Amino acid sequence: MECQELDRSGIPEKYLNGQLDPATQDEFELHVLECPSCQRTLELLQTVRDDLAAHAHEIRAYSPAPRRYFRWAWIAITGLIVVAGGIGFRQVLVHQRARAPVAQNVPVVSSPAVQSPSADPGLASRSTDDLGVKVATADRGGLPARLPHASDETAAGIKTQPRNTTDDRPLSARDYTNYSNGGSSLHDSAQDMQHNSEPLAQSTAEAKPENATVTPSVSSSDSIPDQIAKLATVRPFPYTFAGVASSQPSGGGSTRAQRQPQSALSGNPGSGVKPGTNGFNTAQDYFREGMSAYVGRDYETAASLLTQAVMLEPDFSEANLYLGICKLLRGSPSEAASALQNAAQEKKPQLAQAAHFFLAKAYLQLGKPADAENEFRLAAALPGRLAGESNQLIHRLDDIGGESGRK
Amino acid sequence: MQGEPAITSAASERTLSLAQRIFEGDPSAEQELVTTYRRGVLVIASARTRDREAALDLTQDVLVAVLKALREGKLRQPDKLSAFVNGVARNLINNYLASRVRRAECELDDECYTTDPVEELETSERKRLVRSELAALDVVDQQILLLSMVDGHSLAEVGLRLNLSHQAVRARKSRAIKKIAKKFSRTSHR
Repeated sequence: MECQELDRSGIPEKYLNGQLDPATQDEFELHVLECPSCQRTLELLQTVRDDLAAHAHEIRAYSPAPRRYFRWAWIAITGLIVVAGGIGFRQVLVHQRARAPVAQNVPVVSSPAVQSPSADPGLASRSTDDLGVKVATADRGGLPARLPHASDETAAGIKTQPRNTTDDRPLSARDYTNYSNGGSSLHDSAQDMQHNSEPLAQSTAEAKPENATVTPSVSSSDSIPDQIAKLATVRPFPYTFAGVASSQPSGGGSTRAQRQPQSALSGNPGSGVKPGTNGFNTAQDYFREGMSAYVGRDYETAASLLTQAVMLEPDFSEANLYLGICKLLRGSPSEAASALQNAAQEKKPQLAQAAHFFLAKAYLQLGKPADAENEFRLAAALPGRLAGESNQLIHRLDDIGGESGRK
Repeated sequence: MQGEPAITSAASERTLSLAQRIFEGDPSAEQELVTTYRRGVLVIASARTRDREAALDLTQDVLVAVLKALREGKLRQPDKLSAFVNGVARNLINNYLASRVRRAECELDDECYTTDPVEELETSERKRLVRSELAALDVVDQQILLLSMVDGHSLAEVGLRLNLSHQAVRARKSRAIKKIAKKFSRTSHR
């Protein structure tokens, strides 16, 4: 017998387990008696076997199946986390794309959701009344009436919010973002300026679906006054107490950011001190409460309070700015221009930029496109969020001027 | 199953001489016989009985029976001493397994046939070493060894029980045995 052969064929182990036939067993035992190597092998296997038998209970206690399940469970959990993370990341990307600003250098970006009704045969066959849109009939300042863009929202199946003087939804940071994105303001409130007596607090940004592309609906098919009217539309400029307010120079309330009025923060106008009572002794008090009303979209009250603030402190630039905006939203561009001209003297670039921007809007509403373009250029030259939109509007005005020259 | 002819003839000559010397009453020859065959007989007896104490007793019985036979000249073919020892061992082990009666009495001198303390120490050390090596093995490897060496399952059956392939079981078992044998060989002096 060859020892290596015996090992390869597993005869020692079979011998220990009593699995050899009698003849092979006799032969192997005879070999073992004379072979120290095979004796050692058998001793080893016996020792191992005895030890295993002594600890069999412990070894059997480890069930391989649960361990395998445990391992697969971890793999499954890890896989789920990865998949969930991927889905979440994709959602974030989709959300960011939906909220991505309309490229400022691209004049018009069309979307099925916001196309004009004429682009949709089904919608074109319906009257504007069927669409639930109030057709503007009043001309103002030489600007003709136009088909409101609310029809776009209706066409997209979105319920248009009623026009109320008190819109409870306070201005949010999102409004500010939408505003700074440019374009959205061009059509969102274009309709507003046709309603002289109605407040222009309507913000359609909230009513639009997230993935609806905001489109400035100035098209070459519109008449020139229509196009200018669209460019003249104004949306409420969001007010953040820590934003523009903090840029107010001394006397204008650089410390206002630190002592924000609770009523303004809560967006609940009128919850603070009432005019003429305790605490309404300074321009700051009127401004604070006025901005609370502004945030709450009560532009009439806001204009009244900001007027008081400006009367007490004529150089209060921020009060002048928001007073001008309120006046614009209330449909009084000439009064707005006066306040905005005062605000435009401000040295702080962001505030001055906003003042020039809205002054340009006022000029557009007043039918002074040249002055408006000049103001837009001043706004574009200043650093701030409105620079891009100002440049865009300058290009639009140039285009409109070119068209009128051709006609 | 073939042995080397030269080695076989040398072994035969040695056993022939050993049997002759015992028959002639040479005490050193008896000691040499015990030294030559004791471990092998013990291994066989342990393997067959799975009882070390019984194996020790049986080993003594085998050696006593062989010595008596050699002293009385009952070995017909002295060159086949190993086969004679193996035959005696098989008969006694079979008798033991049949009756399960342990014969503890010792008829030989304690000096010659008591348990070798060195061997016992080596056995103890070997057990300790094997225990530590087995404990260091992966649990699956331990289960493979347990199922195949203690329970007597084939490698295919072990693979089915542990959800492993036959090849994997064989490879893991071989690797584990080799690992233990490597350490084991360092303690084996003979």
